[in-house]
Amino acid sequence: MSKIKLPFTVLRMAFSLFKFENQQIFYPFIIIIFINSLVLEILYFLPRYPLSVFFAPIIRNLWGEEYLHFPMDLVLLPKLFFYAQMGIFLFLSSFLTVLIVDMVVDVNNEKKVNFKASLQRSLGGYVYIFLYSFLSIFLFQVFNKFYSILSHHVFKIHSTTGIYFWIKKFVFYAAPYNQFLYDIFVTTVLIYIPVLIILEKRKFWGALVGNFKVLFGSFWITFILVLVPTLFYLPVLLIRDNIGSLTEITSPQIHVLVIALSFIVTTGINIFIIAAATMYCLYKNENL
Amino acid sequence: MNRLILTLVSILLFIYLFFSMLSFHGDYCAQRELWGINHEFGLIALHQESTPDYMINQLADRYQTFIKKYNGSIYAEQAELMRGDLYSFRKDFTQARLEYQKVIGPDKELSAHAEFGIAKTYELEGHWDKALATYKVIIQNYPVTSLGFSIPMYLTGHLVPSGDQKAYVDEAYGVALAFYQKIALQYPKSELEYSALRMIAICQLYQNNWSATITTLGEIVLKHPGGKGLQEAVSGINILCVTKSHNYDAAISIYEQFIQKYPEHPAVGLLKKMIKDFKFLKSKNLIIQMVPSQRAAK
Repeated sequence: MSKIKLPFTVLRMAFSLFKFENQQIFYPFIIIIFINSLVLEILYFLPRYPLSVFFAPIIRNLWGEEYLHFPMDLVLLPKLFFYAQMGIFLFLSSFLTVLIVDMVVDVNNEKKVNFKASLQRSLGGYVYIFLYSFLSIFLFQVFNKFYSILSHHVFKIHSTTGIYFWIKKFVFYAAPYNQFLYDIFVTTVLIYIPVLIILEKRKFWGALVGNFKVLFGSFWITFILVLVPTLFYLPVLLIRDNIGSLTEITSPQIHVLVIALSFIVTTGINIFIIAAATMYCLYKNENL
Repeated sequence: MNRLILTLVSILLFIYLFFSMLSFHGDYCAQRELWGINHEFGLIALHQESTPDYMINQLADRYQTFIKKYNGSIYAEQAELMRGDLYSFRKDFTQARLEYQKVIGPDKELSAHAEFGIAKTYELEGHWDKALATYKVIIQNYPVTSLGFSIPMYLTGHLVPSGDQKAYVDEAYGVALAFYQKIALQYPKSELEYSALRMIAICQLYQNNWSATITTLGEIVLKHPGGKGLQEAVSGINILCVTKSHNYDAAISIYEQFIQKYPEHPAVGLLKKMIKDFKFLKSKNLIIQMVPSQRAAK
């Protein structure tokens, strides 16, 4: 098969996995969405009685009184949810996402997908998956830190024309899209770690080394495997970028819907990417 | 799978209903409801010419329903105030004043806003004498509310329809200066003192009283060394000492007092450098004059 067609064939095969016959393959997605929704719901009610009895003093001290009242509480909500989501990702959703690897193997072996059995078989790799998640978050945070330092320096540019002016414009206006591209790059570079932890029962360092071995010679294939599904996040990114105008037209509660839409799409994309990477690994193993 | 989805959705729904019921009729619901009505008012205000009367009537009814629902709460009073604004917007000034009157009560911030609304209606009607009398009531009764505090400065911006504008503004700045000096004396070592000192400096700047402005800015530096006010005051002192008063000793004295009072302050290094620069200007007897730009000269 040609190298150009290969990633698209893998993506098509990964897509065909998600059929009604393999119902339990959707379980990780459903559970992750449920947990995120539950946390979002609780955070949404934080400034109100009875949760406010405990949480109001914390919010007041950390962010100020105005964030306990409508509509400023909804401005704070994405920030609170971001912190909560990091915790959920580290301890739960990354592991649940990776369960898809075991399920893909089952489908590949023409076995019936069983969520409980996959969970039991994958439990041994929980700590390594946690380390993988930690590494991903660390790399994303490194970028954020780097970008804030860069923005701070670029802010001092006073030119209103020329190359420096355009650099300043690019750094400020393209920030979410630069982060988006960086996320795609990091995901591409680390994608086989969780796959190898579950698929070949490797430990973290073994999976890290194996990841670069798989990546060597197939970086662009992997890049396309990650890029194509991630493009579905672009509309969400556009909405998030224009949340201010959207709030003006609709209502501040739109923040809640945008957060929900964001984690639903992200979870779907993550699961699909892991499934595609697993399919590619299986393909590579079979064609060695 | 359908059963799983149904169970999980039911749990989410149950939690939503549970918390919604517990917080029903609470402050948060009132805030949300009032925001919605105010938002609609904001939209109507943007399209004043094209908004039919019945929409404004509907909005007035919504305010009324809200006031009845949350009667006795601070939100009901806020809604009453907005109703006053709505009538004022419709140029029904008499009705607007009636609505504003309902708000005047124990809450000083809201009362100041209501009195301001009343004054504004007189101003819009062209009765400046009545408006001025009401503004004076605000200054008298609510001097330390955010609105009451800003009224003396607001009055300096009034355009006199006939008569001597400069004489009016000079007098208004004089009155404002006296007001803020009184506040600064009454509330020492407070945020209010800091705000009052800033206003005093602005009034003195208007009066071209450079040495007094430098003294006031010096007071800000020495009494309120924290926050961004320090940077603003130091900039003001430097500009005035260099380009207006040429009294370098004033700046040197203020900065030396500051270093003595707050030896550990992070600004000490920078102030030491400034003292050195001022001493250099003084030793060389240098005077820097502001050169008006070509555009300004034209």
